[in-house]
Amino acid sequence: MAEHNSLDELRAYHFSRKKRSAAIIAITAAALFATFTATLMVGNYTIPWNEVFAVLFGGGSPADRQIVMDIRLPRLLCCCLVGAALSLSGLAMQSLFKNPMASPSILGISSGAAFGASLAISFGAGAAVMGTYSVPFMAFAFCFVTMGIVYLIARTKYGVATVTLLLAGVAVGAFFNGLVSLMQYIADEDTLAAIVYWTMGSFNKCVWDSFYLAAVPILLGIAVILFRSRELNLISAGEEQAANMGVNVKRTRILIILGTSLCVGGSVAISGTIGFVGLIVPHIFRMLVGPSHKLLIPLCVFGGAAFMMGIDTISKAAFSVSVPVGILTSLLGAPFFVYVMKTKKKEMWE
Amino acid sequence: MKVDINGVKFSYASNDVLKGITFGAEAGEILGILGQNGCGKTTLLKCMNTTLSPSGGCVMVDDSCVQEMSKKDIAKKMAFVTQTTGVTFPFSVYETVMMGRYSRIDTLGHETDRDIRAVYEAMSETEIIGFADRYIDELSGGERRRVMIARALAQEPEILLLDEPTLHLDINHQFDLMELIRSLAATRNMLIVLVTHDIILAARYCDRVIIMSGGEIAAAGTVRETINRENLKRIFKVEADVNEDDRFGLSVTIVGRAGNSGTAYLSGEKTTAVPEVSVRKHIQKGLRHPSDRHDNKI
Repeated sequence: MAEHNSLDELRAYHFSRKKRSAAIIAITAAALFATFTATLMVGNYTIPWNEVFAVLFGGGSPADRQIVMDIRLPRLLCCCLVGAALSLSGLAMQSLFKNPMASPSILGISSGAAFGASLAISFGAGAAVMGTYSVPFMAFAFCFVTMGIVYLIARTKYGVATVTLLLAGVAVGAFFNGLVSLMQYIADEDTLAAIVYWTMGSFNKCVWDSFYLAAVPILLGIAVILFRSRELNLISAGEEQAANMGVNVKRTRILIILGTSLCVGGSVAISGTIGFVGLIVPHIFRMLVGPSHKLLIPLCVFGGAAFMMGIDTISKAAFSVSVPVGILTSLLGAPFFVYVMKTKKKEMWE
Repeated sequence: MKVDINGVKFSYASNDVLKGITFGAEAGEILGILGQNGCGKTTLLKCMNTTLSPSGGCVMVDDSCVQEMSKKDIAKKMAFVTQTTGVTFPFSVYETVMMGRYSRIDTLGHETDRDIRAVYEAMSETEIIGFADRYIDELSGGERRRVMIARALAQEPEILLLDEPTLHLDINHQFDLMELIRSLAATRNMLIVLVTHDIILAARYCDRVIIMSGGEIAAAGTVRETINRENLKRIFKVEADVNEDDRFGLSVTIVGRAGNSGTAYLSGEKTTAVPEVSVRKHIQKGLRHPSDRHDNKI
């Protein structure tokens, strides 16, 4: 291992690390772009890459144009948003709670969203306000209702302890899961199928409106977390130590939870609940590049988006019917995760 | 630079941990805080850097009230090295020390040459410059402690708060660390406030000492004024020999507990009271105690 005994050597080490980080981010971004282009080509009807680019730049045949612009592009953009949002949320939760099992669902937000969607599917709740968008609206709204409940439960006169927040999230999540089960139990056959399908997660119904609906909260959530990367580094080293180094831990914690809620709310609103992505993607990148959030955040955004697009494309292309992505994220993601875990060079959690 | 602690109080629910602590300290000195477990030593440090909010009184640094300063401004003034050196994620040593620059780096997080230089100086002073790309979880306890001190030094603070810095270190690493602390106070003209249970090291390396008991100051002053047979017997309930040593300055030998000895277990059987088991810790290494150059400002 190289030693850096002079200021010049340390300076060179600093800039070599910067270059390495920039290269890794550029490679991941290129992989995202390649996946994006490839997945625009693949489907029941394969379109050559030059035709895809022709369509993207305003040309192409009317049929290809309709397939790419009206069907595949909005669906892929939704995949990108959801993959990036869930991966980043998982990363933020794991670092905030210093818990390898943390995922976007750790605060019960996904369960709350599932309950909101179930209410809309079963009773048409929210239809008076949002019409045909009642399901995503209720899912999104219940993300924030859940977050508020969790925060109120965890709050004491001494402040909000992270562990209490975690436990409150687990309890509230379990409560909403119970309510979703109850609604499934009392639902008729069609409603039950709709609820179960929604909870498996899918991009089958994603259109441009879905993209517009999710883009604002998700991009806002990503920005909030992105601008807290340094604070996340320090907090992941210990909250008390972070406070000693000048981090306003309370404000950072609220912002991270808010950013996560925006990401998860936007995601479940258009795709339903998709598990495992938020758990494994951050772990995979952490094992590959280390724990620094300056690098992990862009990698989770690009890598999560590419992962979700890949899974969605497999779900469309490999089966005669489009299989819900929530099933494939677990079936394909788990073995890949185990592979990375077994071949990693370094333990990432103490 | 000077610090004035004015009547600082702190309570956990109905338990008054600090009952109005008042003292002052200045740049360049090492102030030791001694006392039995639960007397409020660590709580006092946490109140000093506002990790805990005092229920009364205030902490003044150069006539500015710390409680009214932002977290970043406090971090620029004082750094706190806690007891724990455990890590959740294995950051490299360089990344860990660079974290100390948080309060001085711009909002977008761009590290400048000044930041690299500050990290280099901190790592050089703590003798960990060769460890830059090693992972922190691969270091020994003593090395980790140095990394934590380097991270604190990277903050470029005027005040360094240390909570039991020699905890879990072997005797030679304890002396090495205390030498480092003394050197930092001199070269950086820092005020160093350290909480310790080690009376012998405090006698050797501190300029002044506060002995706390029950949330109050039981004794305060120069080392020679505070660490003496009477105070150790009254506050710590121990018998001690305190002598001037030609080579090492003030030499403290803890002989045993004051009063009747307790019980002892021999061969698994409980026996009647036995004579005090002498606990003699002799200092074999170290430099002469710095002269008591400070008047009692406490």
